[in-house]
Amino acid sequence: MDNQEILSSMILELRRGAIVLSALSQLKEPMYGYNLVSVLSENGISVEANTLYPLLRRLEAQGVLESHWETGEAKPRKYYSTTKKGNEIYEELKLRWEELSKSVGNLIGGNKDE
Amino acid sequence: MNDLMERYIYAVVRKLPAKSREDVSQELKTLIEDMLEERCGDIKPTDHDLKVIIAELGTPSELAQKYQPEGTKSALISEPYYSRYVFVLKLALICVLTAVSVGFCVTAWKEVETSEALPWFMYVWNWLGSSAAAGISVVGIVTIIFSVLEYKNVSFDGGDLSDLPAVPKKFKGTGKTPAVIGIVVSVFFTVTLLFFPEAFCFIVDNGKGIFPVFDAPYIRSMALLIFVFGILGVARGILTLLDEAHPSFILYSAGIDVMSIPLVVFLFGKGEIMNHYGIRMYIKEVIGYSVEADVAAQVLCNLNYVICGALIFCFAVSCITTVMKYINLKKEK
Repeated sequence: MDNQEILSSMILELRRGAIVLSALSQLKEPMYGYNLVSVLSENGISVEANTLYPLLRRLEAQGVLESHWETGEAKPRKYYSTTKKGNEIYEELKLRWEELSKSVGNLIGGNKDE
Repeated sequence: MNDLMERYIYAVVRKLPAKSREDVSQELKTLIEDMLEERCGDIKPTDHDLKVIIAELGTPSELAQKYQPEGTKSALISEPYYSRYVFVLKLALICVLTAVSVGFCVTAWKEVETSEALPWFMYVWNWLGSSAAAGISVVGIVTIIFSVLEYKNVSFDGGDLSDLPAVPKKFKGTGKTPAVIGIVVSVFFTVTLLFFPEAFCFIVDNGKGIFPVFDAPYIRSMALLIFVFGILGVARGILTLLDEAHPSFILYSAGIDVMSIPLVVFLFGKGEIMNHYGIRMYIKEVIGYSVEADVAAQVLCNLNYVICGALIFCFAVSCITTVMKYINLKKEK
């Protein structure tokens, strides 16, 4: 395994949790999958549709998200939004992320100082 | 273009649990339309655009794998192999247990009629033991076959988008019947012939006289050949199950048909397979001693050549129609 492969694998691990948190942050209001892909991408979190769509379904199966079909538009679209349980999890996750980010920031900063 | 999209979506969702297929199918359709719209804007998308979008989404197996619960990849047999493994395993177990049960019933009936009966619980015990042994063998063989498929990462999708299966009018009934019948018949006859050759018999006077058609010691001496013959039959069935997704498997089925022909000749091409004594006794019971009885006995004693010819004919027809099917598929592309 060369450096690039190792790095890609690590970035993948790093991004996994960040994508869940980013998606949950946007789903307080109902949003369909491809719209969410675009919004995340505009905010610097590029995620492929073939990753996000299955993720949304898994979160729905866990009760974190709920969904409904909108058939009034030109195309039928499935809208996702966070449930009450999802909101609680998101708030907790956000706190943990901030703590982790701060700690990792300190460590990285500390290393830089050395 | 719509046809390619429908086939791609179908190839993805058919690997998913039935309850979520319709929902995922509709969602993927809208997603692909959205992606095409973003890529092409007001220009009408072409087949090439659709192929680019499909390439971005990944092969049907890759995308279906992402829809599976996390962690399934580390299993000995994971999707897309697992659902097929369960299907074949259920089928093979039902066939084997049925064959063992029928064989035991015939054997027990014969022994009761000839006053060689054991206590009833011995039959139950023997039946349980044989069923367990046969069941474990089947689980082992099927598991090994699918583990090898998983290990070798045999693709069921093919690398070419033109290999995507056609969307059936309804999702149910994807043409599994010939494959299922093939597997059932192969397992049933292999188990019966190997373990209960006496089950193929003439019965007179409501069971007072039972005359096996085949010579049991000869059948046992050919056990390996019969086993290989059965395995080939099951393999043909499995390949038929998969050929919708992977048309090149059709040719392997034809290859198995060709390989089966010499086995049939080895097995049924010799007169020793017939129980000449039993057949002549049967004729004596039914017709008595006469010229006609001699002729009838002669005909029945040569029944193996009829079976041999019929099986060769069936394999040849199956091989030719299979190859024709493959050629037609290629022409359609």
